[in-house]
Amino acid sequence: MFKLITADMKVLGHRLWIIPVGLFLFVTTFSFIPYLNQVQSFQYLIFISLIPALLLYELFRENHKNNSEIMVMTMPIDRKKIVYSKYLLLFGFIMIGFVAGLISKELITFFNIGLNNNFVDPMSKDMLFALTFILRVGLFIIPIYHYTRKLNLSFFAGIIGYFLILAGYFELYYEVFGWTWFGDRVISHLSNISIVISIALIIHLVVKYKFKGISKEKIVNGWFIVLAYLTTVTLQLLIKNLIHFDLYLRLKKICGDLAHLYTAEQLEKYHNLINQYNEYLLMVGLSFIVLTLALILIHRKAENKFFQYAVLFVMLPIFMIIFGEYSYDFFTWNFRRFHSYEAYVIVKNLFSYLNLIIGVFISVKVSIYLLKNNRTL
Amino acid sequence: MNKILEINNVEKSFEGFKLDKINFSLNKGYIMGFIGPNGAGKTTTIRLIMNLLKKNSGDIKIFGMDNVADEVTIKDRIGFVYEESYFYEHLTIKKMKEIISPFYSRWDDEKFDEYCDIFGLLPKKKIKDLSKGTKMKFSLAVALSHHAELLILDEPTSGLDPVFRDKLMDILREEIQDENKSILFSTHITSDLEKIADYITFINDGKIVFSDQKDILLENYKIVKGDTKILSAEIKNQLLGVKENKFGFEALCNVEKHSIFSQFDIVTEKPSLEQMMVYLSNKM
Repeated sequence: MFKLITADMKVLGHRLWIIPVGLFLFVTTFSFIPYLNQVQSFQYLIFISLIPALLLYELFRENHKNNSEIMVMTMPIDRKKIVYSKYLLLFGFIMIGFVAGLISKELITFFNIGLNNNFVDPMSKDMLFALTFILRVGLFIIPIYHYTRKLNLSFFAGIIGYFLILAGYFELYYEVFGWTWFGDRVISHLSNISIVISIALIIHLVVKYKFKGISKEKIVNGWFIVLAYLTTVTLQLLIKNLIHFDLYLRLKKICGDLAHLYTAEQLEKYHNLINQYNEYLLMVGLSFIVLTLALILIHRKAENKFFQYAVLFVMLPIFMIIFGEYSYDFFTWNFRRFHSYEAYVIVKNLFSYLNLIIGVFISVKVSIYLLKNNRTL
Repeated sequence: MNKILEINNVEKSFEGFKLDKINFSLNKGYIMGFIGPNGAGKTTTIRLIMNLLKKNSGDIKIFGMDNVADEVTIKDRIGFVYEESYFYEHLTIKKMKEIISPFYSRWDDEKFDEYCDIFGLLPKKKIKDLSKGTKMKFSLAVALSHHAELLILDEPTSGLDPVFRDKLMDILREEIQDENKSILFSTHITSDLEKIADYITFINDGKIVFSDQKDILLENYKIVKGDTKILSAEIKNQLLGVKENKFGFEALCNVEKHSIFSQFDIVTEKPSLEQMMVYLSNKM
């Protein structure tokens, strides 16, 4: 693998230092120009994020230009190592960006005399987050490229797709994953889910009647993706509500032993919340079970493994978010009661990167499958 | 183990084309010419051998090992020349060699330098500045520089001048002198094969038409020419790739069926490989 990484670095050649140095100089000098040094920290972070992004693009561009991957695949190289080396290189590019950003930050703050300056000293932690954003987008770009072998499409689809999915079809995602039990959004969440199903149904009918050449398996795959998305939605709703189980228990206690301390009106409100919780949990739980069974049924009828990996890949952002942000909420809600704040912060930070680890795992697995199965060579 | 390459019942389907039950093998110490018209399936077959494409069924064994399961081990012992250049164009010959050589366990720098001298390759020249023929020479130099036991050459002589082609044939003949190496040589220039090939495999429309010793093939077929009046339906059925014009007919005929012309005035000729390919392609 070291040989592959060395080979790719030789392929990049001068760009390996020209791009980081160029962007470093641009960012650093830009912030010293009077009346132009209105650089806000997020702009600074964007520039530094460009270092790994451009290096990754250039690497893929060189491999893509003359189909040099074909040459690589005729050599005695394990396909897994080809994939691993790309991800390791991406990580290396991110570290280059991080180091460039750190040095630039120190220079700017050292020489900065604070005149007419809106520059906000970006924390190293923020910088690392911006750089890992490139890693997260890269997790989409690399498998898409291995599938399509189209460079610009892969980068475009990876970046836009990542934003679209994160934004959850723009706002739909936040609505669906939002606060459900205490709020009055149950109806809106159900309507959002029904929108997803309606859109899938319309697409199904259009595909079935207008594009008669589409195979049955592709239509089944499409429904699998929709059902997998809804399954993860219900799973997330379950987790989100189970997080507040302690609140539910407190409400039960209020309505039980401590009822004499509250007014009738308050008690009625709490009773309603308890009932809502029970019903909602039951509804979401049953939906999750039904959807999972439907997925298992379709999975059993699958004719080939490709779409399993495709579904995994499509679900990648969902898994990343579920197992990241919400998992530490779920697993650490009790932890923070019995451990120090410092310990809690460490565990919280670990979980916030857990999604990245899972994302890398899924992305690598999908890429290896695509490369080994030569889908578009 | 005598067989260095075995292809058994390999099938591969694309939209509009199918490689149908491909069967042939190559023994150690021999050169096999792999011929066929454009679109016959030569490059597809070679890509399947090199695991650049996934086969639908069948098995491919190289050095007695499965070409997929033991891919890395096998490719260390194969010298491969592709029809097109897939090198990084912005790199020099020297840099390109520095990228490739670490991956081969038996890379020989001296041999590579020797071939660069023979082929007239300048190490500091960029790949993009090389002509098509020179890129092919570089590709050959790489394939020949790591003591490969099997050379797979896909149209290696395209773009090369006759003088160099002749030199290359000499080099290839020399390579297999120790009888431990073999060469699979796909080409349209059948005159090259007539000089060095021991076996010929002819593929057409995704099917293997024949795979046999070159000398036997050339002995087993004749070109027959005569008057169209003698071309009855029965006789036509016995011939391959019949061409008719106002002056007469010509076709390829298996020597076993030659007796049908005993009572007719015809002319027979020994065919070249190219002529065999033309007639057999017409027949299909």
